[in-house]
Amino acid sequence: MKILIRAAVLTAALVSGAGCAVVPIDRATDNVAKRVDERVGAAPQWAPDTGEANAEAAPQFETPMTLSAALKLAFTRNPGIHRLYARLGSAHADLQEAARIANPTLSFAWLDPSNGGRDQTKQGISATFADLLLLSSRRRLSTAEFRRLELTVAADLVALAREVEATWYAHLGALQIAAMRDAVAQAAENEAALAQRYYEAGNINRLQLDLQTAAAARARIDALRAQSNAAASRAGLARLLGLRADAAWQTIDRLPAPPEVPLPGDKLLPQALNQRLDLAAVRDEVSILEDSLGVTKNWRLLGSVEAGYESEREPDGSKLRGPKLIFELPLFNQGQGAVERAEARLLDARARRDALVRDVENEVSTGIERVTIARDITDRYRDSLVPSAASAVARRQERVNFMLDGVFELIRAKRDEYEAWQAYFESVRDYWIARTALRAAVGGSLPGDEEAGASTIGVDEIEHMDQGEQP
Amino acid sequence: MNITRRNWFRWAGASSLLPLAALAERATAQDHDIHAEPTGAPRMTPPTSGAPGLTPVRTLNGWTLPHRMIGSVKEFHLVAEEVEHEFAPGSRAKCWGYNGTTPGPTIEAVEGDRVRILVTNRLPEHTTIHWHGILLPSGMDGVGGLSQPHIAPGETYAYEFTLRQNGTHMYHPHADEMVQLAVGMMGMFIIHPRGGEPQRIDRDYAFLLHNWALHPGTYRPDPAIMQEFDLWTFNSKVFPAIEPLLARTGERVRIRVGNLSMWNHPIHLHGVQFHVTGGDGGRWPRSLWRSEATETIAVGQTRDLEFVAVPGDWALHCHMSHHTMNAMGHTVANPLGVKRGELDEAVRRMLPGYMSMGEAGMAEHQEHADMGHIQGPENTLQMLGGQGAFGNLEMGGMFTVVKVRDDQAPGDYREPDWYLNPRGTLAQRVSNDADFGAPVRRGHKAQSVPPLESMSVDHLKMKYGS
Ligand SMILES: [Cu+2]
Repeated sequence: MKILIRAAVLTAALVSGAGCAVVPIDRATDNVAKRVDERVGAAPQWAPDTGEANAEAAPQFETPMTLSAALKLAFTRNPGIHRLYARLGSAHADLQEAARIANPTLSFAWLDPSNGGRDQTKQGISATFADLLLLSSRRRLSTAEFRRLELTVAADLVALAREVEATWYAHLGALQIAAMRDAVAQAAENEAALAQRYYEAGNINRLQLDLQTAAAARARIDALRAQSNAAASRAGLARLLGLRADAAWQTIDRLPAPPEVPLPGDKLLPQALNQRLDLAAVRDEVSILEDSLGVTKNWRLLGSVEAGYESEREPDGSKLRGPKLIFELPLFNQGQGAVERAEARLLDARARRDALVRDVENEVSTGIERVTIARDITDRYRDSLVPSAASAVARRQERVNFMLDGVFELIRAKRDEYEAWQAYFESVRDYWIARTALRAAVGGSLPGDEEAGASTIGVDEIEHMDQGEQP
Repeated sequence: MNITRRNWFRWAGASSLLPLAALAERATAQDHDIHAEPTGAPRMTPPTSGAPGLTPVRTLNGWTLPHRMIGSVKEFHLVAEEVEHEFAPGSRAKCWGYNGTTPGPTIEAVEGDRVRILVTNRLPEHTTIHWHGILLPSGMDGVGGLSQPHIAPGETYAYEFTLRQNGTHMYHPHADEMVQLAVGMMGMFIIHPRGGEPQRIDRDYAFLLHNWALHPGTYRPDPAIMQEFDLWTFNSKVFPAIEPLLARTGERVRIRVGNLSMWNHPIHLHGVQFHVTGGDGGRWPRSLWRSEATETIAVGQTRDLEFVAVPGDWALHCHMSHHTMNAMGHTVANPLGVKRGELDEAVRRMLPGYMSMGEAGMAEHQEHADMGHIQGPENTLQMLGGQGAFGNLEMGGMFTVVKVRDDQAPGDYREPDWYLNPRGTLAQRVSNDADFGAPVRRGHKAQSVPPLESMSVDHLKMKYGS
C-alpha cells in the first residue's frame, strides 16, 4: 500500500513531463565537433547523407597538401567518421525511446471485484506505474549515457586525427629519406663510374673496381627500398584520408622543424586529466552507474529494478553500451540480485577509471620524456653531427686540393654527409611521432603546436650546397 | 716570443694565404737578426778568435751561438725549450729547440779551446745533450742515465771539456731521444783547425737534414711516425724557404751536412764535382777524398763537401724525389691518365668545389695553388712550388740553389737576381711539333687495359664470374 501511494504521487509529478523533447541530434553533433575542434584544430564535416556523397565527390584540397588540409580531408572522407555518426544516430534513437513512457497497455481492465480479480487489477496498474515511476530516472540516465556516448565518439575522432598526424609525419619522413637515399645512390654511382675510368686507365685493379661496383649497387638497392617505403606510407595516408593512393595528390615534402617552445612538463598532466575524452567518458560511466545503483536500491521493492548497461563488443572493436531499465514484480525476488549486479558493475567501472587515470599519468610522463629526448637528439644532429659532417667534406676538399686525398675519399665524405642528413630527418620524424603520441596522451594540443612552424631543409637544397656551407 | 705565440693561429692563417711567389723573397731573408739580444748577453766574439785566417761558418737559416770568455774558458749557454718554428710561410709548429730555434744555434770553437757549455732545461721533461763525434771524457758524453744524471726541468748542467780535434759535429739530446729529436732538438758543433785551414775556405756552409711528421692541418710534429714524414728539411726549413748558398766564381766553398733524420739522403749538387773531404770522424787525409756529384749522408753522419764555385744557378737537393716535396698523400688513387671527361661535371654537381687534377701529371697542382684556385688545409704547404727565371720549380722539401756569380763580392751574402746565361749557353726551343725530326724509337706504344666483359647472370645459377 505504501508503494502504491508513493507511486501515485510520483506518477502525478512525472506525467506532466512525459512527452517533452530530448536533445536534438544536431546539438549532439555540434557538441562533438566543438570538442574535437578544441583538441585537434579541425572538426568532422557531417551531414546526414554525406557518407555516399563525399565518397564520390572529387576531393577538395590545396596542393601540395598540408597537415591541416589532410586533417580536413580525413574528417570529410574517412569512412570511419560516418560510422561514428551512425553510432551517434542509433544512440540518439535509444535516447528518444528511453525518454518516453511506454504506450498504455490496452489489456488493462477493471474486472468485477466479485470475481476476485483485484490482484490482477493491481498488477496492471503497477506495470504502468512502474514505467511512470521510473521514467524520470530512465530519462536522466539515458541523457547521461547519451552524453557519455558523445564523449566516446569525440574521443574516437581525436584518435583518428592523431593517427592521421602520426601517419603524416611518417610519410614526410619517408619522402625525405627516399630523396636522401637517392642522393647517396647517385654519389655511389658517380664513384663507381669514376672507378671504371680509373680501371680503364690501368690505375686500379679488378678488386677495387668490383668493390666500387658492389657499393654502388647496394646504395641503389637501398634507395629503391626507401622509395618502396615511401609508397607504403603514402598508401597508409591515402587510406586515412579516403583518397586513392594512385590519384594525383601530393603532400608537402618537408617535415616541419621542431618548435622552439619548451614543454611545460608540470602543466601537462593536469591538462590531460581535464581534457582526455576517454577519461571523461569513463568518469561519466562511473557516475551513471552510481546513479543507477541508487535507482536500483530505491525501487527494488517495486519490482527488481535493474538500471545499468549492456555492453557488447562489435567486430570492429567499438563497444555498444545501452541503458537498461528493467523492472519486475517483487513476488519472489525483492531485487537483491539487481542491487548486487549494479554494485559489481559500479566496482568494475571504478576500477577501469582508476586504471585509465594511471595510464594517463604514465603516458604523459613517458611522453614528455620521449619528446624531450627526441628534441635533444634532433638538436644534436642540427648543432653538431650534420655541421661536422658538412665541415668534414670541406676539410676533405682541402685535402683533395693539395693532393693529400683523392676524389674517392671526397665522394665518400659527401656520402657520409648525406647519411648524417638522413639520420637528422629520421630524428625529426621521430620527434614528431613522439610529439603526436604526447598530444594523444594529453588529449589536446601542446604549447608550440600553434606556432607557424619553420620547415626543415629540402633535400634539393642539401644537394646543391657548397662544401663547407654550414647548415 | 710571447706575442708571436699568442698570435700563432692568426699568423698561420695569414701566411697560408700568401702565394708561393711571395714566399721566395721572404724565404731568402736571413733570420739572424730576429732574436733580440737580452741585456747582459755575451758580446759576440768572433768564433774563430785565436785562429786567424779562418772563415766562420754560415748556418743556413740559422745562427752561431755567442760565447764569453771566463778566464781561458769559452762559455756557451744553451737553453732547451719549446719554440715556435716556421718551416716556410704557411706552416708553423710548436717544436722543441735551443735558445728559441730549431735547429739550435751552431756552436763554433777552435781546436784546443777549453769550452764550458751550460745547458738549462726549460722543457716539460728531462733532457741531456750528447756531443756527437766529439772526443771527451765519458762523463761529458751526455747519455742520460749512462754518462750522467738527467737534467730535470728547471735545472742547469755544465759540460766542460777541451777540444782535441777539428771537424763537423752535432749535438742532440740523449734522453727520450726519439721524441726530442722528432720535435727538432739538434744543432751543429763546428771545430775549426787550430793552425788554420790547409787550404783556405772562402765560404763555409752548414746544415742539418731532418724529417718531420707535421700532419696536414696540425701544429705539432708527431713523434710516433717512423717513415711517412710530411716535411723534409735543411736546418728545419723547406723549399722555398731555404736560403740559397752564395759564392763568387772561383771561391772555394765547403758545405757541411749532418743527418739527424730517420732516412739516408743522397745529397746531389749540380754543376761541379765536389770532393768529400771529411765527416763526423774528422777531416780525411787528402788521399781519401772522393770526387762525387751525389753523396749519401747516412743517418747520424756528417759529410764535408768542397768545391770550387762555377758561375750559374745550381740545384742542391736530396735525390730521393719524394724528399723534394712538401705535404702530399701517399695513398691517393692514381689519377694519371684517367679520362674523367663528363664525370667531373657529375661530381661537381654534388661537390661544387671539386677540381680534378693529375690526369696529365701533377705539375698543374702548382699552377692552381699559386693562382689561388684551390685552398689547402690550414697550416699546410702545397706539395710543390717555387719560381725560377723560366717558370715553376715544382719543388719542395730538401731543395735549394747554389748561386755563383762572377761579381759576387767576397763575404757578400746578399742574394743576386737569377743567373744571366751567356749567349749560346741556354737551352732553347727548336720546334713545337711533336712529329719534329726522326728520332729513333723502340718499344711499343702504351696499350689500353683489356676491356671488361659484363656477365649476364640468371637467378637459377646465380654464379658470377669467368
Ligand atoms: Cu732525402
